[in-house]
Amino acid sequence: MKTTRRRHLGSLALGAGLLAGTACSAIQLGKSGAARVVVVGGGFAGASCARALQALDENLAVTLIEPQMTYTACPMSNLVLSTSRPLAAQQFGYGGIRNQGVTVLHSVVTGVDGVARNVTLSDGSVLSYDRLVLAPGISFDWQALPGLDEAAAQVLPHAWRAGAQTELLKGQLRAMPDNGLVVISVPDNPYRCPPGPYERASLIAHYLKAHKPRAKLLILDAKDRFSKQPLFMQAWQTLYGDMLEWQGLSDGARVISVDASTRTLHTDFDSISADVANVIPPQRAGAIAGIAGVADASGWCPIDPVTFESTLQADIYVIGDAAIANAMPKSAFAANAQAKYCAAQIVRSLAGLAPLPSTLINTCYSLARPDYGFSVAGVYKPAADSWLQIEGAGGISPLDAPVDVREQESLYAKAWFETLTESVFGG
Amino acid sequence: MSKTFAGVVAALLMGSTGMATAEDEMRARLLMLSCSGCHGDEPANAPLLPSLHGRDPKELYEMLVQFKQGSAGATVMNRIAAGYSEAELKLLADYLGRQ
Repeated sequence: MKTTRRRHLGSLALGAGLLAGTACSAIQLGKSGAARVVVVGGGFAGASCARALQALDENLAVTLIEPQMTYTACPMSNLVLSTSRPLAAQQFGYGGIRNQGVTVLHSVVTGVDGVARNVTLSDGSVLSYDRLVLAPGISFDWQALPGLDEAAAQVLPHAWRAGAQTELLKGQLRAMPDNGLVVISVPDNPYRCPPGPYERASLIAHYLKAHKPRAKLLILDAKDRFSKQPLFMQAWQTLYGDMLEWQGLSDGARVISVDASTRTLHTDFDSISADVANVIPPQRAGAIAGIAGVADASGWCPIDPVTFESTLQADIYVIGDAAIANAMPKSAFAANAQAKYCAAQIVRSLAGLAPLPSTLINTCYSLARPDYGFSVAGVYKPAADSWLQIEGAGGISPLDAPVDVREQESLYAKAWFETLTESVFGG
Repeated sequence: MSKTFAGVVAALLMGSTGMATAEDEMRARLLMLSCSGCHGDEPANAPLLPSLHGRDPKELYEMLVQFKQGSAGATVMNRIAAGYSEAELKLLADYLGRQ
């Protein structure tokens, strides 16, 4: 449902309660001296945060900087690979965020000066901020896997950033021989969307079963355990039988190098030639995290759990996949929740109020078939130095659930995507 | 700013629903940030899932407690509600009842 009026995030609006005293912030700062918040990155984290900031305080000068005119969402993009779902169903513009009052600039940040508190854009212009939010998502570590670089990824698509790569992988799957071999290489943790590779394997198997029933799919995993493993294993056996095989670290399946010219993946013990090789690269925080000095030696960004402020740079906040949120996974659901929470803490901070810790949720659905879904959930609290999962809560869907519950969860998966994208990009 | 003043501001802005303290209101709204991921941040935003807005607070609280105890049928809500104290669930239900 589309509306053109501004959102108030369920009455999260100024002064209506969340911030209580912030009705005074406009008075304290003076209308002409409205606080400036710059948000870098227009994915689920950054777009949600920019919108929430503006909804919380319409007097804030919020600027969202994002190079792309259109955002292509990753959740549900495995259905684009495997069904008739068009890529356009994954794509969203920034009009709704503009209508909220946010200034959206399609540009690239090339520099961050944390002392002078400004960012430099690719056209040379400089934007000052009172608070900076970095939501750069992931970048691929092209040094981590010998043989895999950006050029090789045109032959061995990752499709781990939805868009042209999704179409590339989809085209390869359709063009491969009927008895072909698809190989998915999965990196060690941490990476974006922990259950994503296994949903992808499931949905590609769903496509193969209908269109190329003599084909095989092999997952080469750099680890022995993965998200929702019992549920995926059960679904694979039930739905796809021998068509789909998973091998883990202990099986010697970790991919240690690739050769794009022959589509060969080398593991500790073996060399496997694929007809289609979906090589998901090792990852780290998006490039701007390095430029801004908010990433540590791990390549990811340490934060103060209570506020999401960087522990390395004052007044810079990091949210979404780039942040080290400990028990919270790198998911779109978590990015959206963190973004709104961080926006509230920033507005409190600008109003001179202390942070107010709260609980956050993550819920991630996976589809083993378009009508067969299950979930993992977690409830999290910020401790002094990390986000902790609350004991006794969360966990995965029951293994013994009847098939109508799987179908219901597949509908909830799609409903979640509709709700999330409408609340972040709609209007 | 003093808590008392914040309370007055919030109570003024909340009009006839001023029974809740400003601090309760703040805590409830922060808790609600995650719920809206699936249920939407406005009633119209989540047409495929139950809206949480404008529900009878007592009924909603009882349902959330049943989820927490595992005695109500659910796909994921039982796993989520288990992460909240009964006081937090009450805070949320009362807040949602006021929307």
